[in-house]
Amino acid sequence: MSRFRDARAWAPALVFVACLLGLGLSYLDPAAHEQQPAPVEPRLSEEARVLLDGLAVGESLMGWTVNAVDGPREGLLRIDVGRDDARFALMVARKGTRAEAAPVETERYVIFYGYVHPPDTTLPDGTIRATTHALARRIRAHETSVDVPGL
Amino acid sequence: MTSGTRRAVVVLTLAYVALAGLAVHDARFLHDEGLLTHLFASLVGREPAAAVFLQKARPPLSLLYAPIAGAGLQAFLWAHVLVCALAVPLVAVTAQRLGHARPELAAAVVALSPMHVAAGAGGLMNADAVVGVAAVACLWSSRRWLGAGVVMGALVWVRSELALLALVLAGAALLERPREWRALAGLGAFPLLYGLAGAVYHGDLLWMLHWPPALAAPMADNPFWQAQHGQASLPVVMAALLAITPVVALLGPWRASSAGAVERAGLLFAIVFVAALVLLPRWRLFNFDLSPRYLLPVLPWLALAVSRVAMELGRDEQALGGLRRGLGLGAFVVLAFAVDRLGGRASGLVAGAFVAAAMALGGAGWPRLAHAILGALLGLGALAYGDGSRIARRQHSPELEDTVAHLREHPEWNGRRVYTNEPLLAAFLERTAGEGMPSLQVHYLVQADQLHELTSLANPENGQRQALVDALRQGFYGTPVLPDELAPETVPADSIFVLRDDPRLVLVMPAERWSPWLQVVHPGATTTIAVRVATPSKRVAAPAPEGLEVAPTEAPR
Repeated sequence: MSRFRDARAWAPALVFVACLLGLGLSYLDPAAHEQQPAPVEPRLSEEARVLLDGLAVGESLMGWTVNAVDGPREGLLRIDVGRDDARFALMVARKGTRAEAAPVETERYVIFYGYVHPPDTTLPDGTIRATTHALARRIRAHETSVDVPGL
Repeated sequence: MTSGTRRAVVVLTLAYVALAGLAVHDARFLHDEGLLTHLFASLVGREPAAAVFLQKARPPLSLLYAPIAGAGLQAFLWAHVLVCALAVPLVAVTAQRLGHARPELAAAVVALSPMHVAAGAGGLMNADAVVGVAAVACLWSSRRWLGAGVVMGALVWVRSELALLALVLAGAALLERPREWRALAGLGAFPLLYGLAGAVYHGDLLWMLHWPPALAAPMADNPFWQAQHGQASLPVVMAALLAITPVVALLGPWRASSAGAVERAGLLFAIVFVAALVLLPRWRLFNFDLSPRYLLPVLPWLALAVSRVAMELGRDEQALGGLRRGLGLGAFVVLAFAVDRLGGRASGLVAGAFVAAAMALGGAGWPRLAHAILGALLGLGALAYGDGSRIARRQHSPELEDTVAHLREHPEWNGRRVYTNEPLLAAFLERTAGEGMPSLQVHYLVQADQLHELTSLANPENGQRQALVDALRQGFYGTPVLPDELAPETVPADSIFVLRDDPRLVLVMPAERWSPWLQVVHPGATTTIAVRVATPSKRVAAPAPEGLEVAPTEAPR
């Protein structure tokens, strides 16, 4: 140990110990990894809230409970709904921004669905048709009177 | 250089070739920018004058690879690996000339750099820039000012951001006593010769300004850039630095007093270069995004700097003091800890622990053990720290293998056309041809901003633009389809569309026009496979259907 009395040895040795403590903390209290982004806190802009006719968390959309409402984020509004152990999301985008066919369109917007979870879940017949059209009805009521920046 | 050092450098060079060669073999780092390097070299064979006097085509590099480009992508990638391996001996020779006792340390940093291995295997020009910078450092350290200037002058036409190193070299030459005008003459040689030859071709003395190497600003209303926030986070920068070299923590205790003037100038360049490239995307200048690979050219200077510190790990008179070791490494570890807390990974702390252990053991009088630990970190790092480069195929095209698997599921698609905006699809399909894969003709949907760049940077008046378009028709990520040539009515029925999520796609495939014609066959998280139907589907937009009923209590099946 006498070799470590020299500052050239013990100073970096202290840093080594600090690294181990940091690694221990990282193991015990892991932070979400940036490269696998953690879900961002859902946030809905005021204009988007108006467009969705005030749709809020906890409301029911054709029997499905709204778990989160978010956006615009990367040109999309996202509404997460769930019932029992099944979840999926409805997405609203401005017309002309997606090449894929959307199940429902309004005058200015298209409505998609996705993120079905668990992945092997088969949604009940009519679920997508019912929820997307219910959402479309809300949007049609306001789409000409409100412009949503970022959407 | 001793025979032992020479042997070590040869082994390290072969290690680089083996690591990068394996990656070429399994296409781990297949990258659209690498395909672009191959394309530019191919263009020299197809339309020599038009390609050489297109500054965007990186003329020195395109000329270098032109002879091999015609032999195909795989041959080009192998040639690229061999060229990039030259950086290893070049840095070793530089270290020796700068008085490093063990030049193989600097060589090891280059040979085992995860990002250099990835960029070499991927065919990226950033790895060629490392070779060029290493050559400049080598010539500069031997005071061959003219040669250093000539190489540096040409290097700016390989990676324009290296103009900063040209400025540093020019500044160093002017600070010399007597002043080294030869460096300035060398710096001007390539631009002068190339500029004069180009003036004859373009019929315009100011052609370099009129037809620049890059757009000063992105195309207006380009959704790709609208989606970029342009602010680098600390975890991304830390991951990139660790991917350049996992022993980057050794820079903490680096001291200018023990380094030579060339090393000091090089490290100054490296610091300013990294800072500039982290900040430039904020203002969207010169189309720089936040790709970590742009930082790679600092590798030779970092290798020399960390090698210098590695020589001072012991307890002799020249060794680093305890305070410097503690503070320098401590600063790195604080950053690494912050990265971990910000949601990055703990890999900085792991690297810091290795380097701290090496420094402690060196300070305790076991320098060989210290070097062995650093060697272990470099060896492990080559395998473990590559993700920070963001070059791996699974990072930028994660669904490519699934897409190809889906295509394989459809033997009835044999002979059909595939339209895609995935630049890697044609090259990847070529690798899997014959493994039960239907024969497909890949047509690449040239994006609006790609066409905008070509038309903005090529001269239409002397026929260059048309010559380049004609040359590109022979192959551009497959058979190119220009935006104005793409319409649902002209695409053969039953054609396959492989469309990856890309905000630019709407510019060439507006949804209103295309949605009725596409039937999705395989939806994916980032890539959709669809078939062009014979007749467009009719879609009713309004009103909403009445009387929809779904039992609220209906449970998911």
